[in-house]
Amino acid sequence: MPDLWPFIVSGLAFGGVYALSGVGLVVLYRTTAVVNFAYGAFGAVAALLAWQIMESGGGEVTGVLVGVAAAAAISVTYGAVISPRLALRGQEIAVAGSLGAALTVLGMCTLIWGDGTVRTLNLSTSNVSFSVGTTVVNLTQVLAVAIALGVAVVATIFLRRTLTGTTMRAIADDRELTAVLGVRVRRIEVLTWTIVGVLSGATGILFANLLSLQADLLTFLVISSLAAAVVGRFRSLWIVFGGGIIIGLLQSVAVAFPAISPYSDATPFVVAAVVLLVLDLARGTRVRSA
Amino acid sequence: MGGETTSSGGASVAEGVATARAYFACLNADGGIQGRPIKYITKDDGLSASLAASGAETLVGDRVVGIVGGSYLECPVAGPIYAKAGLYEIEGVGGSSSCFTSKNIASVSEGAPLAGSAIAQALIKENAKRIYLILPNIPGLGTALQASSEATAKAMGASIVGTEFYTPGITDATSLVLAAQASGANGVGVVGIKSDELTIFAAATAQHLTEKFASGNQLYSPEVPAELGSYWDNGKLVVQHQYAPESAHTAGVALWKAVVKRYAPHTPLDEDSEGMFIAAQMFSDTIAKIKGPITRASVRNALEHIKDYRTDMLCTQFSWGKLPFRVSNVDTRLVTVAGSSWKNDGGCAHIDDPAA
Repeated sequence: MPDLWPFIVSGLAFGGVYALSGVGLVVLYRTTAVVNFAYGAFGAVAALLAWQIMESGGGEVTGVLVGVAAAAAISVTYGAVISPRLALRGQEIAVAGSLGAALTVLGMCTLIWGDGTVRTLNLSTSNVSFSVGTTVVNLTQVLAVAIALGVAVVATIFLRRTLTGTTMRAIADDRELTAVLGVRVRRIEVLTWTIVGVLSGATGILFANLLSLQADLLTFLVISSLAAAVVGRFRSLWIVFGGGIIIGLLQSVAVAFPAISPYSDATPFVVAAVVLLVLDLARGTRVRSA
Repeated sequence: MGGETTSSGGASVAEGVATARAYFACLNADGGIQGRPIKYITKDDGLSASLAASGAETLVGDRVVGIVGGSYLECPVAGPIYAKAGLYEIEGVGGSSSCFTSKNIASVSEGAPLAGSAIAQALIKENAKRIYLILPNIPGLGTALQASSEATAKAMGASIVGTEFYTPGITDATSLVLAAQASGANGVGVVGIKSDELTIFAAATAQHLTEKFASGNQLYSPEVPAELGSYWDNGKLVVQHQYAPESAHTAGVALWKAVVKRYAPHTPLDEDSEGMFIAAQMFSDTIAKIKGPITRASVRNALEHIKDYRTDMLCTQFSWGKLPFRVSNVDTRLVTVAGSSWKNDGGCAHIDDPAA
């Protein structure tokens, strides 16, 4: 039996990646009923812009702020102009539209930065590190987990306890009815997409530092992160956070076992499939006993 | 002419094909071949076997007369389709085993089998006798690297204590390096595309690994030493580079740099770019000597008779060679990191192949 402790520590830090992305996806879903496949792509724009500014001597703080602002701007543009029109056509169309947005933004990133040059996004937080046993953890990894937890806490309270949060949930439930009741739906939607854009930008910059500054990698990380959202059934931010951490943990620990390590990348999908099966079985049991 | 490349799907060697395209553009500006311009048609296989096959079928249907290819799946998937259509290829990037066992393909690269042997030899030379391998899960490539590393280690009294295969587009590099550390190895061989290797080395840096490391050719690129950082200075990492360094003052390297600067200015001067330049140049020089029409048959005949093709970008002269295993590029250079540049003190080094 291998020593799993280093993999557990690493996995907890890695789980922050999935938790942060999953929480962001579910925040948007609960407020717009849209699964946003472009979440990762917006983050990729933020990361590449931040890198560009830092390379040009603009400084880390400026780069991060501009990157996050750019992600928010693209998110708002999509959310205010395109998404509402797609929402009128149905949820499936809205989801497919977000995939189209993801591919379009990825294409733009490839056009501008896709020349084969390898880039790395260095954050000063990665220079601060400490050891947990024999494993080194850096501040960026801790930030990913902390931000995911913070967003889960704040978003849960906001959505449950504030008027704006309640309005956002109402729009997600029935956009047209909410509009009929006199709610300024467009204004709330712009606010929602802005918040999610900021979150996707921050996520993208953190991931680019933790993983790699590649537009396609950052864009399609959203697919694996959906597993965390599935674990939380696209509802409970706490469970999404916990699910993301557990998925990262399992994926890292899987590498310690040679028999299954080549398949460790499948961990998010296996976990999602198992959770869906268990939920389905549980629902079936409840129906039968009702 | 045609060629496949991998530009998506988790791996990308697109800069290689961009260089080949640049070479043909330069050649066309100089009158082309037999006064006729070259039209170079490329397909992206997206690291998918089905796309590689359909791309190859399209190239066959486009009536290309020969292939200058650069993708990981070209040899194992597209190669048989080319063979059926009588198409012959010089391959510049990729290097899976089938590039050296196919009747219609010759590779300028040393390929996976010799690359695996070279990695093991480099580590053993650094007194690393317990070797851990971190290899890409690419069909025909990863297992070939593993097999040749194991054979070489065994022949030289060392052992491979573990192998980890990862999917290109790596996300959890930290676990890979932790597994290497946990194995008790004192040497780690890493092979993959440049971006994945940099991610692995960033994780190894963060975890302060003290083992000796050796890497395949893909890591060689002018910007990489600065990206790696000073942690890898002083011989901690040995990288293979099978072609002439971009800092070499030779006619071949000067032409390569000039062509890329003029016709593909955003392409980095890395291993893939250089390999495809050599492949494109060798192919063009060979078919330029054809007397009569340039057809698939005449191209085949010309390529099969390549013997002792001389270029200052390869350590050895290149010949088409004979099956069952045809590899011409049997030497490499081993370079180390020195600040923000590469350092090569040893010149060309022969790769001992235990299978030979």
